[in-house]
Amino acid sequence: MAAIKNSDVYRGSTSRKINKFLSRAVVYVIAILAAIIVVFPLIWIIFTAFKSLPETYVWPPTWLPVRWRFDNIAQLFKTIPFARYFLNSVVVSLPICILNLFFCSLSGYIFAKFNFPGKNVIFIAVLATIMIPFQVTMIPAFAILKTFGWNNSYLGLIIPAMVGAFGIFLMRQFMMSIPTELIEAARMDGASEWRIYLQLIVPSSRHAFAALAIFTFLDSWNAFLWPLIVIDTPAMRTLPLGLALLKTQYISQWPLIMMATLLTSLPVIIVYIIFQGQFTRGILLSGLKQ
Amino acid sequence: MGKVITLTMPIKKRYSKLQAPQRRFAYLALIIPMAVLITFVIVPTILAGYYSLNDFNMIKPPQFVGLSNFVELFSDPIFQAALRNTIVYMVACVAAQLVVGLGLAIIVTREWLLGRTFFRTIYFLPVVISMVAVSIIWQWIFDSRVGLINLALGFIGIAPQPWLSSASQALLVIIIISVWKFSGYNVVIFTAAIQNISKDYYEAAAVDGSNGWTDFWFITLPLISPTLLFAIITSAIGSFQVFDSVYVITQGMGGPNFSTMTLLVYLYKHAFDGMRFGYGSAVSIVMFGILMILTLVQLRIGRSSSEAMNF
Repeated sequence: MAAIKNSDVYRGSTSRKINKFLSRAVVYVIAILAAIIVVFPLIWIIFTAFKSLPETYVWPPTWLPVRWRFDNIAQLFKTIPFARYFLNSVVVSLPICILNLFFCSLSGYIFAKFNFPGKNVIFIAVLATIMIPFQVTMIPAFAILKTFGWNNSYLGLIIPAMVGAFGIFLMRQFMMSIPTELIEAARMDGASEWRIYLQLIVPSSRHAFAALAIFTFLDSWNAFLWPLIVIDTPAMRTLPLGLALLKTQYISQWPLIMMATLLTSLPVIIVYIIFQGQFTRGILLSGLKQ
Repeated sequence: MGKVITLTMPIKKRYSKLQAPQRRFAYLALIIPMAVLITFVIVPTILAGYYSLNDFNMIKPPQFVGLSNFVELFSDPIFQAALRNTIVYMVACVAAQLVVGLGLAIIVTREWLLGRTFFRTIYFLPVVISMVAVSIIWQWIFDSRVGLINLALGFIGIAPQPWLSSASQALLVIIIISVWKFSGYNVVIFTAAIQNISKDYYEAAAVDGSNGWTDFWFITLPLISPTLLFAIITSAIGSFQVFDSVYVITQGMGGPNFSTMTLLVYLYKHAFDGMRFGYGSAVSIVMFGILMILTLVQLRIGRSSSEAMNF
């Protein structure tokens, strides 16, 4: 072995250097090419969003708009109640995030640090619900929702999504590692259970909170199928729903559709770029989200 | 009542006798979350089984029809097409996302690569964008008349393709879209798995004259194989439930000529457009059965994989 290595070294460091240089160059080319494939479609929608309708039908296509039509933005807001869709998305996603953080962390804490009759049975039932796919529950859940009169309402979008088995499990896994002695000590000092939860458990689980907040926000902001089922009237549409139906309504009006797509995706992209470290950490923390 | 032993925290004697206020707190805290899970997950699961044996339009009470929904289902050629398409889609997506994810993860873990974090950040970007937006973007790019893909093909002398208006190419486009959207997820988890491998292995192998390829085949691949297996199962489960892209691109029709019809789109169409909620529930039960098999595989490999990933 050593002999082979030596002869390799002897045969000429220049050819080895060239080889190494070439293989690294190939890796760079692939990395950059992949980045272009990811980013280019996003840049292309920006260009299209600011073109005139006839310009989108020129062949071969123009790259940059001949003239940047910033009034396309105003046009979009005139054509559809885009601001209303945006507001609906906020009004639905925000409570879903807050409720999930509160109830998942609270239940996770209970399952991690409390013992009481029936705990294991309840926890196993919670775990079992992770395995039930959404398409099985969506028809009966909608039927139940209708009996409450929650169809076509914010409540119908928020309540079924306000707590999830995955979030409970994530929180519980994280809170298992909080030293029980700390909780005991707080109890000795006379702290109430709520105070222990709010002042000890919540601050020590910041990372799990961040991870869960990101997942819940993405899931609820991008949700499509459930709003499609629950919502009937245009005024109640969330962004993805409004976007999908805009596309069916204004077939081939690409500048309009692309402007809506751009404005829908932009908030998420900005949030992602600001918190991108948290995103990757969240994924790794949660193990693997199904 | 005295001795409650949990699966996860064995022999913690001080907790075996919990005081009443703590027990009360525990039950109180769980009431609302459990009520939600029972009302919107557990009861619906049972109801789905019941509805699947009934004719049900949500106006009149369910009417028992036995297994006739299932009989009708399996004899419907469109259901068969949906099942076939879903499986083709799932296999293609899993394979492509695995190869792309692994390839890019290997690249962004090269220590000499400048901008590793930048590349990883970019690759993950499509994961956060809504599938509705992503589908619309790609429908525009694959446009048969003025789309960029046909423009690019023109440069290398290939005639424009019909893509989404062709029954033989539409499913391929749907697959490409999901590979673009989800591969970045695999990049992140594979990157973490690769970075968890101790450098000692590579150093020891280098002494024995190992190079990049043998490193990959004999060290990297075997050591991250639990993560790979896990990614395969999770992306299989995810792809099996494909809905948004097909619904948005084909207006919920699964066209052209049912070439992109998938199980969940089929379910939605019959249940919510056709008001046949019993029939739709029967579809969901069939999907549940198939997913159950995938989930059991996931559970079997889940333990070894989370150990190996050491997150």
